[in-house]
Amino acid sequence: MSERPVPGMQALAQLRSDFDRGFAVAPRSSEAHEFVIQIRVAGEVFAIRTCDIAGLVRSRKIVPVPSRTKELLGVTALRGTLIPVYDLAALLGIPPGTGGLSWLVLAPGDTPIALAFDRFEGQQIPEWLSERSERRHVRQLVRTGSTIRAVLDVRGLAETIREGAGIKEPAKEKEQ
Amino acid sequence: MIRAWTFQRKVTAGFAVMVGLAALIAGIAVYALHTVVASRDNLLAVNARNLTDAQRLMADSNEYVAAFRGFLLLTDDRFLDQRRKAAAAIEETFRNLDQSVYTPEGHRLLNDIRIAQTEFAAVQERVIVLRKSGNGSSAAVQAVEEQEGVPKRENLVAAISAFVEREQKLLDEARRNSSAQASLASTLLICLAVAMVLFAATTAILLGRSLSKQIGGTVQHVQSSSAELQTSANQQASGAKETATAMNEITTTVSELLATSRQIAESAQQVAHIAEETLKAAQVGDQAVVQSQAAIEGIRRQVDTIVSHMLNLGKKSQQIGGVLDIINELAEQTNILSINATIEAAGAGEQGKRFAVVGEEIRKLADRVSGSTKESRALVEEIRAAVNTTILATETGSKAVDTGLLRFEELTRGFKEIAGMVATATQAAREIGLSTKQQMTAVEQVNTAISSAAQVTRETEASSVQTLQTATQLAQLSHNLSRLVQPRAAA
Repeated sequence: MSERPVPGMQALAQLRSDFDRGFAVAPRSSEAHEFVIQIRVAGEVFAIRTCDIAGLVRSRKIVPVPSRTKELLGVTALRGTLIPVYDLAALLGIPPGTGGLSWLVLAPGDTPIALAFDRFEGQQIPEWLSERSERRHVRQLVRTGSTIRAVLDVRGLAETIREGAGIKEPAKEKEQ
Repeated sequence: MIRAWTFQRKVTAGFAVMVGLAALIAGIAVYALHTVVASRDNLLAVNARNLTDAQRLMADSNEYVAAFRGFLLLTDDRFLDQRRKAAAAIEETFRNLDQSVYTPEGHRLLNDIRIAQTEFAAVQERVIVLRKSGNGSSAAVQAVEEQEGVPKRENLVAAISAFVEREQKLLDEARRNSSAQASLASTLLICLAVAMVLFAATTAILLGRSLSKQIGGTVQHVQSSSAELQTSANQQASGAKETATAMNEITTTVSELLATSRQIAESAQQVAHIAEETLKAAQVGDQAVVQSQAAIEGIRRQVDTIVSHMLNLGKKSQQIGGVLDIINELAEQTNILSINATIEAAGAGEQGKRFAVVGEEIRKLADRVSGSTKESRALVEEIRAAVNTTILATETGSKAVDTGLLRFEELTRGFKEIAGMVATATQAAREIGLSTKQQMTAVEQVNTAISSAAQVTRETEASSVQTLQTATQLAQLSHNLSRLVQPRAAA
């Protein structure tokens, strides 16, 4: 007679096996590492390429500042730097949702900019779709699981914000 | 009012009237006879005696004169003695007449006689003296006699004759009066007798008519009543027959009731026996309930212990949840760090690829940890839910046990009440048995009484038939009587 397998123990064995296999197989190509993070902005689902952002952090205390820019929520402190925080839903022209803005995504650049959104739904290697979206600040579409998401152009958004604020970024080499 | 009199009263009244009339007539007759007799007595006692005394006075006077003449002729003293005796007799008669004469005329005539006698006696005394003295001659004596004596004697005779005539006249008059009274009495009696006969005849006719009418009406009433009695007797006979039939049915029913009472008595005894057994079972049940109550008390204590353990388990699961939260938070932060490492590796270009691989693995590991944590959380939540459900169920069970305890207490009381009621029921069943036996005895008595009543009813039926026959005979008799009393009406 054999003992019945315990589900928790099976998961542990599977976890251990997957962990070991990660060291056993060869690393995948760079395209294979094109990750996106899945977010939800005022109820709508979007995706952001990890290469388009400088970081993902939980929302901290946002101190409102007077501004003519209505999308500017305020400033927050991150790693000793004051960073302006913008409402991503307002930037995308989406009516504000009911939930709080719990997450910040950091736009790359010398002048850091944080974009606040509702929910972070994980990181995944998506299926890139050939269709294009006519929506502003959207590059293309991907499928994560059964959900089709618009991939936000964070760099473009940051560029737009900087242009609006009159900030000029030094020229950098093009992204791959 | 007379119509309301009874026959006896009417007949008695009629005879009383007759007797009264007869008595009246007899009284009148006695009175008339008495009057006539009195008149006759008066006639004989007064008038006739006066007449006799008057005639005797005449005779004594003649004897007095004869004695005087004898003395004159013979001068013998014996004639003087005779003359004195005749004078005494005359005096005696005078006294009698003086007492019996009742009319003034009589007394006057009698006084005239007395005067004439006195004068005549005085003349005779002078003659006698003359004769005795011898001085007088016969002629002188004769002259005195003829001159004085004869007129005086004629006066005396005339006075006496007048008195005799007077008395004769009175006697005749009294005789006529007596005859008239007798005739009047006779006529009155005849009239009364005729009146009595007429009255008796009228009374007899009226009484006869009245009695005939009354008896006729009564007989007709009797006839109609006898007819009704005949009808009633007929109905009574049929009713008595039906009653007899009903009494037979009642007798049968009472017999069945008697049998049923016996069965009830036996059943009551069985019920009493069963009640006694039920009482024993109730007492055993009471003991079992007490034991069950103690067992439930133990269950309640065990349930309290289970609730305490389950609450402890809930707290532990909450602590596990807290640990899982920490793990999840760590996994999430690790995930974020791995994502940021991936981002940093992506920014590092080719140099960061290996770091990206490590970051990816860390992310995967964090994902798996997060997934496992979620599963664990789900399991812990399920455990907590199960614990909560168990606690609720246990509390509900504890409450149910409390309620059960209360119910068991009520059940205990109920069993005690049942025991009491069963005891009462046992006593009642015994009393029912006794009562049923008494009832059975009573039913037997009723059965006997109803049998007697049935016998009486049969006799009543026979009596009703007899009554019917009697009523028929009475109707015939009343018809005959009616025919006798009122032939026309009966016809």
